[in-house]
Order: sequence, then C-alpha cells, then structure tokens
Amino acid sequence: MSDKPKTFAEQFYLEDASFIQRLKRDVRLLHFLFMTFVMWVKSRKVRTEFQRCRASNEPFYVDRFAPPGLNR
Amino acid sequence: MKLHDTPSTENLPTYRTPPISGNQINGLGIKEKNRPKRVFHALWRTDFPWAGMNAFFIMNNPWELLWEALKYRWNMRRSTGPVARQRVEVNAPNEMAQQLKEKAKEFGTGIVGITEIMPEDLYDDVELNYRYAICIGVPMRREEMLHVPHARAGQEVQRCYGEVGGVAIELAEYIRSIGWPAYAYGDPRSTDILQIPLAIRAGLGQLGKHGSIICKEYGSNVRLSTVATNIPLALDKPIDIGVDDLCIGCRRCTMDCPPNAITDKKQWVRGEYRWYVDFDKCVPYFTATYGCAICIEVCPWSEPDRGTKLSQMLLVKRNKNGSSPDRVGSLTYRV
Repeated sequence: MSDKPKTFAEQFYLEDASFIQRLKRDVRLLHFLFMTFVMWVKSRKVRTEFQRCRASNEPFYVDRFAPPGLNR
Repeated sequence: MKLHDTPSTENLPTYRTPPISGNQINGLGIKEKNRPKRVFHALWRTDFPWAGMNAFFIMNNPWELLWEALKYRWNMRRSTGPVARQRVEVNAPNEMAQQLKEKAKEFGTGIVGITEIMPEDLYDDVELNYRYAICIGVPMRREEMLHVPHARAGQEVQRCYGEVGGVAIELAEYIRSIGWPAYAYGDPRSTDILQIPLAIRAGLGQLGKHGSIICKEYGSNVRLSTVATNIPLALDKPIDIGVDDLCIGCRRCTMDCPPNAITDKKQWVRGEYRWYVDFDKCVPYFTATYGCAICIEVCPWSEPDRGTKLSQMLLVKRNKNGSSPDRVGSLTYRV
C-alpha cells in the first residue's frame, strides 16, 4: 500500500462505491466537518486575541495553529 | 467601484518562524513546466508549510461563513458516483458538447466551455484519469461583493461556490446517467485541480493582472467549477477579449491592493510567463479579511454590463494601432 497521503477528493469522492462504502464515507466526512466546527468553536478566544493584537499594535503569530487534518 | 472602510495592513497574522516562501512553492522564477504543489487550502493535511495560516483562515471566519463552507463540503460528497451500465455512444463530439453545454445552462451556469486536462492542471500529489474538463462559471451577486473586504462578501463567495458546485454535481450526475464517468470539482479548498488555467483554455476568459480570470460577461465577479469526464467532446479555444491590452496600462488593482501584492510585470512561474500575485504578501491580508477579494471587485471589467463594450473598444483600438500581441492563453492564478 502506498504511503502517499490521500487528498480530500480521494478520501471523500468515491467512484463505484457500495452502499456500505458510501455510508462509511458519510460518517468520516461528518466527523471531519464536526472537527472543523469544533476547531472553530474553540477558537473564539483566538479571534478575540487577534482583534486585540490588531488594535494594540502587537504581533499575532499563527505558528501554533494546525488544521483539523485527517487520519489516513 | 469605490472602496470604503478598508482594514489596515498593520499587525496582520504572521509567523514567528516564517515557513518556506509560498512564492518558492508556487514555482516563481522557474522557466520549466512543473506541476503545482499545494501551498494553502488543504485543511485535511497538517504537514504543509502554510498550515498554520490556513488553520487561522478557518478560525477567523464568522459563523455564517463557516456554515456555508461546511454545507458546501457536505454536498460535494456527491461529486462522483455510480455510472449507468448502458452507455450512450457518441458519434458526433460537437453535438454532445453542445448538448452538455445546454444542460449546464439549464442547471444554472452562466458560462461554460470545454478543454483537455493537462498534467500541469493537477497538483503533484494526484493522478487523474479523465481527459476532458467542462468548465463552468456562475456570477456572484455584485451588491453583496461590494462589501469587500468584509465578511459579508466572504459569505457571498462561499454561497456562490455552493451554487456553482451544485451545477457541477448535477451535470456530472447527468453524464454518469448516460453511461460515462464524470467527476465534479468544486472550490479550491477541496479539489485536486487548478480551475483557472482550465477555464482560460476552455475559452471562459483571460487572466488579469490580479491573478483571477476575467470574462466578458461578468468580469472577475465569477466563481468556477469543473466537471472532469471521458465522454468524447469537441474542444473550445481560448479567447482574446483584450484583457492584456487593458491590464498593461491599468493600475486599479495594483493601487487598491492594501498589501501591495499585485505587480505590473509578468513573471516566470512554472514554465509560463504570466501575471503573478505575491503569495507571501497577499495571504496574511487575505486571511485577516475573510478572503479579501478587493482586486476582483475594483477591476473595471467587473462593473455590470461593461465587459462587452470594453472588449470591443480594446480590440478596435488594437487593430487601429496595428499591433497583434500573442496574448491568448496567458495564465496566472491566485491561491
């Protein structure tokens, strides 16, 4: 099996998939979207901090952030 | 269009330890043809250099914008699916092309064209087994886009991606229903292809100095999607509506771009001499302002009902001056 990470399209856009495969895909996609939502909810403080930095002339660093990502 | 209330470029999101330049990843200065590498809009991965900025782009969205994005990705799972066993044979590719264009218009597209997919249209981490691209464009609502660079305009961009993606899904489903494989590609955040170079070769428009497509019908006020398929189709040709004639002298987007990311000179990018927007300057402002889009809305071509007259005027002027620049198919694209 290849080690190449699958792209978003390769993971979620299935060709000739059976009902079960489509169901699994839907569950995984919902999970990914939910994780994106969770990331957004948790980042309320980050948004406030960004606005504060903008107003007070302080730098705002993004190094610490990571996208939700996906398990291969 | 007159800009009002433009956020400052002070204290934009930045890196403590800057990653490799996005311009380097994009192949700026490279004269050999290469496939593009992912640099932004790849939320499913955590291992690309600009991942932190990409994550903050999502974090910074207001709820309405995030909701549109989540809905869109959920709907795009229908991008592909089972192909009907009974295949309609295609004896006349030009007739089939015409039929599919009419279908696309029936499903709600504004403009549509067909071209062949080249390896350079795909990111370097994917293989694609389709030969043709049916490129689709749907206009954004200008009255909403006049609110650039604020969240209201960002929400309209995402809504329009949903609309144009929906057209692509319906068209792909139709093609599969007549026995041919087809795959609908939506917005740049989740696809494996570059929409703009394909749309230019399919004759939807030309590239502007601001790195976006300019079409006669809607200027740059348009979003794209693509249906990849193997059904035999007649190809469209790139068009020349005089975009370069205007861009060379017009400095509207250059001057209105708050982070000064747009330059007046074409540059070599992965084997093409073309307009290029400085990624490292554009993206922090783009991230802070929910997708910015100032450059596409201030573009003179984006004024409603202006494109056709502008094109006629530019082409007449060129013919009078006797110059015939080889500009058709020149490319550039934004992140």
